[in-house]
Amino acid sequence: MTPFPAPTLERLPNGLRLVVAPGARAGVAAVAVHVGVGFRAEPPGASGLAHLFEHLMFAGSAHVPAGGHFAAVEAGGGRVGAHTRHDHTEFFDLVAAPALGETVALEADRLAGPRLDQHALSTQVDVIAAEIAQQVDAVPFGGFPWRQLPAVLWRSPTSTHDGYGDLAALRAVTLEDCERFFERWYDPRNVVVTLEGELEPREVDRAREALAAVPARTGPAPTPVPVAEPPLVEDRHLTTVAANAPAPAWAAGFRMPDPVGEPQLHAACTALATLLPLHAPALRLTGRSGWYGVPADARTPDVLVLSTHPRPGVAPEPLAAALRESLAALAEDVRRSTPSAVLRTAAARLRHQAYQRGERTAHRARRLGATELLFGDYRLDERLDPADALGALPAALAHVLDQPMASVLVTPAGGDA
Amino acid sequence: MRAPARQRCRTACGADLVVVDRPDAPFAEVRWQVPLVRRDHADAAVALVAGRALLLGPLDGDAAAAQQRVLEEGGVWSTTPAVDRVTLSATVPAERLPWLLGELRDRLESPAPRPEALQDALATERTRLAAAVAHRELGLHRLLARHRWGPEHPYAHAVLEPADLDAVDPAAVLDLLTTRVHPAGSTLLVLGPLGSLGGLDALELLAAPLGGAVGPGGPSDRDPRAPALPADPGPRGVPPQRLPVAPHEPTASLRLWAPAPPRSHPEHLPLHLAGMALGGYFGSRLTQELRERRGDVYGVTTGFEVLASGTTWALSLECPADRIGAVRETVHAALAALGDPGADEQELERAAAYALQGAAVGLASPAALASAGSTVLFAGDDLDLWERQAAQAATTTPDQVAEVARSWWRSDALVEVVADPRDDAGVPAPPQD
Repeated sequence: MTPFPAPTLERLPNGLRLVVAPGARAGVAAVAVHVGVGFRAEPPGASGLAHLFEHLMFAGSAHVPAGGHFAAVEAGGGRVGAHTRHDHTEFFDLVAAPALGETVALEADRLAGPRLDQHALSTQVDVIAAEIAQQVDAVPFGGFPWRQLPAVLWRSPTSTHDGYGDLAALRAVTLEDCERFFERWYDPRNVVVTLEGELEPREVDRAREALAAVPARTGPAPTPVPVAEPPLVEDRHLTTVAANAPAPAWAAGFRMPDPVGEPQLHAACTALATLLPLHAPALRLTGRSGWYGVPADARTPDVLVLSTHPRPGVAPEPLAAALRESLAALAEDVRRSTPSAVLRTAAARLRHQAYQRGERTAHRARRLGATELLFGDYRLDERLDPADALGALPAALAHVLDQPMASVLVTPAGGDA
Repeated sequence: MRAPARQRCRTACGADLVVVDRPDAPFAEVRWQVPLVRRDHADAAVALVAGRALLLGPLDGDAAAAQQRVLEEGGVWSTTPAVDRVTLSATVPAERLPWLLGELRDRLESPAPRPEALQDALATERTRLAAAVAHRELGLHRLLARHRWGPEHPYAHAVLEPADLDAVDPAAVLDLLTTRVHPAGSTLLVLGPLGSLGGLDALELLAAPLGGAVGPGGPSDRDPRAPALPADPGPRGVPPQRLPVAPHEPTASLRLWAPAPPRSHPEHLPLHLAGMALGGYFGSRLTQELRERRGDVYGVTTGFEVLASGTTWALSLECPADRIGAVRETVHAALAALGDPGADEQELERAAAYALQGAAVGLASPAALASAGSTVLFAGDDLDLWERQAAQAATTTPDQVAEVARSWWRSDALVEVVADPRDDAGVPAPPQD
């Protein structure tokens, strides 16, 4: 397989950053737009505003009617998506390569100013209500552990409030609130646009021209909200009942190292999430562990989550002890001169996991843009490959074993079956 | 979407082998779809465990050991049992393909799992079913399959519960693996960077561990040892069904199924376009009305379930429980309107653009193309399907689309299931034609 040309970064006169990353020549190009505002930047009393605004960005703009973004992209068979995360909102399009310039023009138009009206605002609050009810509340273990764990792990409301949204708060949001939100955060200096895939030079030029036309802002550039949190000084456990938990589920969170300052350690911690063999039959702990989401997709402090489905009736404390025993056993395994089967094939397992993660729509474009926006390094993922960080596993195990954990145990409503 | 360059042959072991060279892929993708028809509900439970146990070798103590063996070769693999097949999926470095195909053939032709490994597979499957039983989708699917196919049809046994496994005897699993799982009638798609193996000329090399090429392959060259397939009963005139759910649940679900023509049938594409215009993409009638104008749904999906000998058109959505009546009325009105007066040319052009150009976008990655392509091959078609559909779409008229909508979505053909948490909400009578 021929390696792709290295991605490049340029800053346009309006301050917008543009990453251009030629990739697989499969006739498809991806556009990712990352805006430096996520649910950790929501003002008090407006829980879910960032998510709502993500929806409103599809309500039309100066030259695009409501729903026109979808219509234009879908007319060429393209795919559209958007997500709101801790510290950023991402929009992405996957389109046929010749449609790249036109698609970026749609993005540029709404970055210049979405069309905000009361009908769209009211309807999208209803759509979010349906989204939460159908995609989270109605799904077994939906929202686990993110609806419960942050409140145990962190202290500041910035990091502990529900980013999906408080529907009562969202119904009180006004158009003026939305306009202020856009003015504060959707500043081109706070935006990264990434073009990836089969990139035709003419289409890249069209894209650059459209993005350069997004009006520049005056005044100070947006700065990220502070997200620092004090470290835990002892284990903290929460046991709670969840109506959508058909069986007990337990998740433990550990603070991750900074991916920029300690990329090898960060990558090795990521590897742990895949390699840790959890085995405690008495507690019915099985080999489930894992990273929830994508590594390095939020600013520091970020969290490594390990989870399992324990036997009903087991309290968090013995679960925490069993997890630490598993970590210690893995540390012992790492020290052996003859590696176990798990460690012998660790690199293959991690490479396949990365490959499968790459199947996400527009994955590479989204990672380049997210790491540039969050960490100022669009090539950060090249230093965060867990398969290349196995030598740092001892340090990663020490990092996790040497810190208190925060855990949440959810049990079914009406019993612990 | 242009059909990928490919080579094809029937192998001595009975598999229809298709090879696609993708120089841009980091790994080779393998999808081997093996026919396995379930006989009844008890047999379905045995078949389910057999499907999970298929990769167990004679030295493997459990599934983890089997996975470890392929990891040692730099790859991963898995099996997915379904109502009409078992799919063996693998991702490996291209140079390990000959080893992999030989290993998979051995597992299919000479199953020898250890008793403790079969017990482990049975326990694992019971745990998996116990975790899945809370998903409403399973209850919906069970009702839909039962009424679409009839309670005794092999395809009705699509969804099982943990208790169904209680009577499964590991000896019966081994017997099924030995007597009923065989490459004959299977389709095997290999897609990846084959340059080091000779590009498309790798066909001969890859056919070798399968006994070598003995025929041209394709639907007209199906291995005579392939199992017989069940017939599609067609419309069964089933009244709407209600799936009870807990009264506190805020969300109702609506599912509609209807028998549909196979992909090779001239009416498949017009029905595909009607489905797209109805609810298949963001610009569709139902998405615009129910989501963008009324805020009742997060999304609507339509599509096809294509089994070895039966195709089903399907629509699904969820909405707030107190709006299910109005939503249901809207859906039925939209179904009827696509039959009369139907969609205009512009609407169908938009639907066709999304459906057909979307295939090129959605199947750009090697893994996505391998998975979709293998299901197309198993249903008796070829990888030029999307190219042929694009050509047909260019000459399909609004009248043709309206006619197939009227024909395939008529009320006696629809299988409707509503999951509604309200105590007093019976499923209302279906609308009149």
